[in-house]
Amino acid sequence: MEFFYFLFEDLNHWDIWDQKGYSTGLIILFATTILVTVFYYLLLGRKTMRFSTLGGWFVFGLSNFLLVFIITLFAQGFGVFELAFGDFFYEIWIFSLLNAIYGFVLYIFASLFFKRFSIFSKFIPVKF
Amino acid sequence: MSKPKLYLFAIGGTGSRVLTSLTMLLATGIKVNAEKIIPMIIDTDIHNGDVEKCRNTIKSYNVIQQAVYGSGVEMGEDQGQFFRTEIQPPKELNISGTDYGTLKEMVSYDTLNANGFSKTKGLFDLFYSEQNKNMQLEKGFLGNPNVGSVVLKNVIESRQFKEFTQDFGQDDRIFIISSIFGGTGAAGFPLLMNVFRDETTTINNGNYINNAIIGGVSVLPYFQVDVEKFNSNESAINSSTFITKTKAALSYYDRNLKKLVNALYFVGDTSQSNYDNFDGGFDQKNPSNFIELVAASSVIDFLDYEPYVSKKNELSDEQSYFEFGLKQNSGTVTLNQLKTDDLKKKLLKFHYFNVYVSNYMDNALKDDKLAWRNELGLSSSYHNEHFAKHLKTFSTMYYYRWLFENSLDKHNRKFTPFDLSIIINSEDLIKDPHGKVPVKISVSEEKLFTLVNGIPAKNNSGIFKKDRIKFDEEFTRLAKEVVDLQYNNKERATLSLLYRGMEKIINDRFQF
Repeated sequence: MEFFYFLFEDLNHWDIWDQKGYSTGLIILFATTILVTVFYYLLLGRKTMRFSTLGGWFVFGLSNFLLVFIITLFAQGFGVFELAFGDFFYEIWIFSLLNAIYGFVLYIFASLFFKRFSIFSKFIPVKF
Repeated sequence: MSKPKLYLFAIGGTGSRVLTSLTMLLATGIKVNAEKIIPMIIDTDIHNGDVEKCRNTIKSYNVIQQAVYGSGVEMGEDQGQFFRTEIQPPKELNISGTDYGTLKEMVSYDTLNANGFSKTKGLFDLFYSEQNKNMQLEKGFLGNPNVGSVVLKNVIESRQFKEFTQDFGQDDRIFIISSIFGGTGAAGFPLLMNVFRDETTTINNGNYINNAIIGGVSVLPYFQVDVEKFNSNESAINSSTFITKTKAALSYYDRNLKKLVNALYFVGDTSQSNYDNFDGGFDQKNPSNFIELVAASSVIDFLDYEPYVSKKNELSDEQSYFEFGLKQNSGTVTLNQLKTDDLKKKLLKFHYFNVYVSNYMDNALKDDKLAWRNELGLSSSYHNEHFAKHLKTFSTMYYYRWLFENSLDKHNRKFTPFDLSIIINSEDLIKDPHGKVPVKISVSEEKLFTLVNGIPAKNNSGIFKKDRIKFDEEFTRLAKEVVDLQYNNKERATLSLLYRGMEKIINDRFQF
């Protein structure tokens, strides 16, 4: 798991990250991104053409970025490291930001897979 | 039995204008019981503005029709879709009057001064006034059927007429459009009927033509022209004699024609339009009129008249007469006054189609993310390709103009099925009777619900929801269905998709 998050290293809490932190982050990353993509392509993309533009797709990617960031932040803070509300743990913020960036990248790849199941967004983000 | 071809003789200015309206009706996809329609225009006035307009309208229709259904489409396929019926480019049986000069020159009147011809000359003088004899024939017969009956005889010698007789098949039908109150039409109709029903004829396929089912529409007076111009000798057309001429012609028809025509339609209007008085030529461009649309509908009705019969003696009744009536007498005719729901729906669909083509299609075709465009495999420059351009041309140069002309104030009975406030260059159109200026339209999302006069579209807007008519969304939903039909013809797939989409929208939004 740490290979996936090779850009992130927190040697002071390595065992917690290794036991729970990385796996929780990865689950959040995949679950949230797949849900957002499915929502965009299979629900909205078969119901209305309103969001079937490159702009609409980007907004959903940005939403996914924010969702992954917030969920990761809360899950790591309260679930993994059991911090109290108001505590500041710098590494969690960095990890959440990194996870959110990964979320956007994953959203792009997931889009390429799920777009075929859509009616209106079939050619978004790219036409092939 | 295969479907017949219809040879449609359009005589004079009225004939051409009715043909223009028929083209619009056929563009809506109204079903006709004919393999194709072959218009035969008879007008000595080859520069006549109405003929020119008719020629251009059919040409534009034909380009679209051929691109979509020109090759590999079976007769029964795509019935009812836009532009489905083939209209061949008109054959113009014009015997240009300029070849003859005046009537006097045409009949070599001066030779009648020779000995032994005094009685012939006297008879000729009895039938033709000095004005008739000296009339230049290049602009038609200017309301003088007595002149037309002499000149038009040459039509049957024309190459186009001979081609018609050669091509005529035993199941084919003939229909003649003419006005009864003018010169060319009033003279041409009886003349043609006598040729077609002449049992001793030696023309090609004379037997088939003799036995063919022949119909005709005779348009009674429906407009008047400025009499002052006649009184001041600026024009030779005098509309105050239209009724007298009509009575005389009807009397002639009753005695001589009624046994020759199998289905005769009479249309006319006492609520008449007021036109400028021109002696034919390029300037004679009378605006389209509701009566012409009615006359055009008689062509479609005729093709459904005993459709399984191909010879006159197989008809249950060899002579039938038809008239047309409106539900109520009103100066403004909307779709509500038309009886046939099918026609209403067709007009509606075609109007929304035109609104889409002229107002939305360009942007849609430029959008490389638009699903229906990509599903059909249309290129990013498709909006600039021949077919898309012609669709737009038909819409902006002919369709809207036709609607606009039908709604002009010079008609005492206007045909205003749709709200034409969407036309933003009305002033320019009025100043341009020759039809060179394309119609510009602007339609808001709200306007799409009130395009049809008297019949608003269903609007599901609420406090929290704004309803919209979403053309591209409907097309995208239907795109796969069309792709699965594997047309292998992008134009056919495009038109079919637009037709299906419009049908869905109209069925969802309008109830009859």
